[in-house]
Order: sequence, then structure tokens, then C-alpha cells
Amino acid sequence: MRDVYIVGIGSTTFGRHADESIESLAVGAVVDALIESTVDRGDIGALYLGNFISGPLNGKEVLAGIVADRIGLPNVPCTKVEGACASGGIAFRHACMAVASGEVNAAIAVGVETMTHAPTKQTTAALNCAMDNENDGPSGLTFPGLFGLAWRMHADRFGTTREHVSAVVRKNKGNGLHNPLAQMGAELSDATIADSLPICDPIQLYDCCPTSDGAAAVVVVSKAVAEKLSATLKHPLVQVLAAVQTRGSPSIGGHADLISFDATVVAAQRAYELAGVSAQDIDLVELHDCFSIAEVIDSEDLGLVPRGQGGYWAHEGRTAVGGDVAINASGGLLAKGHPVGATGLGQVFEVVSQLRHTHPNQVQNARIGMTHNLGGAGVACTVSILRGVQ
Amino acid sequence: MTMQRCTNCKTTLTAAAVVCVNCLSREFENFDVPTEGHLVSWTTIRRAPAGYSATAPYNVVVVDLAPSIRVTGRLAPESPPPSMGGLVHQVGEENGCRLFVVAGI
Repeated sequence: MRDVYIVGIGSTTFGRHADESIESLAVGAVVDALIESTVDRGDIGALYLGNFISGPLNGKEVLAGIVADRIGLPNVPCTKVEGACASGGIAFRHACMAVASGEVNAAIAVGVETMTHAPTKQTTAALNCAMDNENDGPSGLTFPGLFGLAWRMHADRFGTTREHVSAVVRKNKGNGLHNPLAQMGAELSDATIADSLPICDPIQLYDCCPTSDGAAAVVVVSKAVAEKLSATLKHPLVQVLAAVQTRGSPSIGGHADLISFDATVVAAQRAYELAGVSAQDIDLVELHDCFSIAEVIDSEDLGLVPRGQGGYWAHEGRTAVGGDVAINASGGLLAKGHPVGATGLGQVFEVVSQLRHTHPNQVQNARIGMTHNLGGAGVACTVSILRGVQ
Repeated sequence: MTMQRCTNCKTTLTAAAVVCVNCLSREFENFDVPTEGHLVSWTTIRRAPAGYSATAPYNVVVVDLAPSIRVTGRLAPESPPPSMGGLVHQVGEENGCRLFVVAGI
């Protein structure tokens, strides 16, 4: 497989874009990435678009082709990919694979979702499509509920407390204050978090990511193209050391243990192997904190934190910017927002900014970064490892 | 209560199975499963999805009926409060959802 480099990134703010259509958001992010990359549109060989629910929420499909048409791309393959909350990460991986395989020399990955345009009930119903509705749906379970189940098990086994998990919320909301793309950064106290609306015990309002609109995009190219462009690029190159995708169980009963997602564990192992690095080499990670407790679980599944220690590490500040490993310096899904299909590409955008040393909440000397995107009840996962070429 | 399994290789299958995940056979048979199991975890749903609002708040439970049989269900409204690892009994089924109650002390 050939080496793959990221030469352009673009992102809208994450939050409410009430007056903008879904394709307009995607086009905005793609155009920013394209212009920054200095790649000629005629040289783009493929476009992958990550999106989850544009059908039920926007009444729009074939979005990949529509976005390509709006920006005047040539008649190249344009494909929408879907893996619920991991749709963006999957689009990124496919673009990387298209370049790595030698099929194309340059490709675009874009992720987009608009969730605030529809009534909340409609959005919730659409999101629940990512559940195994034959096995788990009839109980009346929700996604926050899934993580409520996981939290209780984590607490029972490792002594994780409300205060530990609140440390994740305070960190990510605080990080969000530094990120101009973030939807809801905030300075929160433990008392404010603990007094917030109960959603599904022990999950409370501040433990949940918001619903969001937004888009993010990247341009990936072969080594030969990257070297040719490096004279005109304003930013250092970022190399994709690994872009892995895995599958886990779609249903609760299929998970050996609800305090761990196999799809994440396996994806991380493969990514470390492909990249030739270990967890200790990771300076920062953007991981899938759809709920506060998810960050605890993900950080352990990725091997960044010892099993059972996720809450303790957050509480001790070891996952803050300046800590052992910076987790979600962007604010993560909790503060930056979670426009489902855009999230995975948003994570790549954040890590690339960090590796270029241009991030508004910069991790000092960031050299190697990771992204982690998880869909459904752990049914789809992507993990990427990126290296800044300084 | 019963569940289905593969007639050929006896692999336990969920209600959603189309073929046996082990041998791809389409021949299934029912077998008896215990109605008593251990509570793996639970959560109290206070913000319910469409169709469940009238029932909320309710407890969704994960129960191990046997070493390889983990199911999701709901606690019946009349059930005593749950505790981790505690015994629960299945008392019925409602719209495809198993209903449990916490076993009396």
C-alpha cells in the first residue's frame, strides 16, 4: 500500500445552522479543504461522504454526488457511506484506501449532518435506527440508556464515581471554550453537573453530547502528489500512518462485557501495528465521547489508560492538555458537538491542526495523534493514527 | 420461556437470527431457557423514545439467564428496586420485550 498524506482540511462550526442546507454545509467544508490543499479539482479521483440520516431528516440521498456536482468535480466515483456515528471516520478511511491502493492520487472525504432542522422527536427516532431494533429496541432502551448500563457496570467493578465522570465533563466543556468551532464550551462545577436533569440514571444532561449541524472535510493525496505540493502548501504535511475500520456486535447481548467495545479494542491494536507505534507514543487523541462515560471506556479500550483507570485519570488531570495524554482537546463531542456523520472528519480536522501546531488549544510538541469514531451500540468503529511531518 | 437455537449445531440464536451464525443453517428449534437470571446492569429511562413516553420512567435491564444467554428487558412496574448481580425472574413478555421482577429477599 502507498503512503497517504493529508494536505487540506476544512470545517464549519458545529452547532445550529438553521438557515443552511445540508449540501451547503458540506460544500463549504470541502471547498475550504480543497483551496487549502492547492489540489486542482480535475485531479480529484474520488469523493466519500459520511452521513447517517439525511434520508429521514432531510429527505435527501445521493448526497455524495450532489455535493460533487455543486463544486464541479469531474465524473469520478462519489459514494455516501454510513455507519451511524462512525460514518465520518468510515468516509475518511475509504478516501485513504483509494489513494493507498493506487486507484487514485487524490481523494476527498467529507462528513455532514443536520440534526436541529427536524423536530426533536423525529431526530431521536432517526438516531434510534442505529440500534438493533429486533433485539434491544423493544425494551425501550435509548443510546443514553446503553451508556447508563455501561456506567453502572464500570462503577460496580472499578469504583468509578459521579465525581470521576464529572471530571471528564468539566475537562471537555472547558476545552470547548478554547475552540471557536465548538458548540457549547462551558466552565462547569461538579455541583452544576450533579444537579443537572436526570436522563437515564446515572446519565444526566451534562453527560450527553448535544445534537448539532456541521460538516468537515479533508483532502488526501499520494506521497508523490504531496511532495509536488509541499512547495505551495502553507502548512506542514500530515501522514496517515493507519486508518482502520472494524465491526463489533450491534446488540447489547452480543458484547462480552458492556464496559468495553471489542470493535475499539481490535481497531486500536491493528492501528498500532500498522503505524508501528505504541499507545505511549500517542500525544493526543480525539475520541468518541458521545456520553461522558464513553470517554472513560474508550480511553481504556484504546490502551491509552489502564483498564478501570479512565475515571481516575480524568480526575487527576492526566488526560487534560499538558497531562500524560491529551484527550479531546477540541472539547470532544460533549462540547464541540456531534453532527453525527461529520464527527469522524471533525476529529481528523482537530488532530491535523494539532500536528501542524496551529490548534487554538495546542498540545505542546504534538507529533503523533489518534482519532476514534464509534457507531451504533459499538457495531462500527474507525481508528486512525496521524503523524505530523515537521 | 423458550429461545431458539440451531437444529444442526445447537448454537443459541437471538430472535432476529435469519441463519445460524455458526453453521449458516436455516433450521431452528425452540428450547427452554431459565426464567431466573442475574442482573448484569440496569438504567432508569426518564427520557423515553416514541411509543414509550407513557411508560416512563422505567428500568431497562440486562440479564444473564445462562452463561451464554444475555438478554435485554424491562423491570415490571411492580418490581422491587434492582441491585447489581441480584436475582430476577421473567414474569412475561410485552410487545417483544421480556418483563422481569426482582426476586424477593
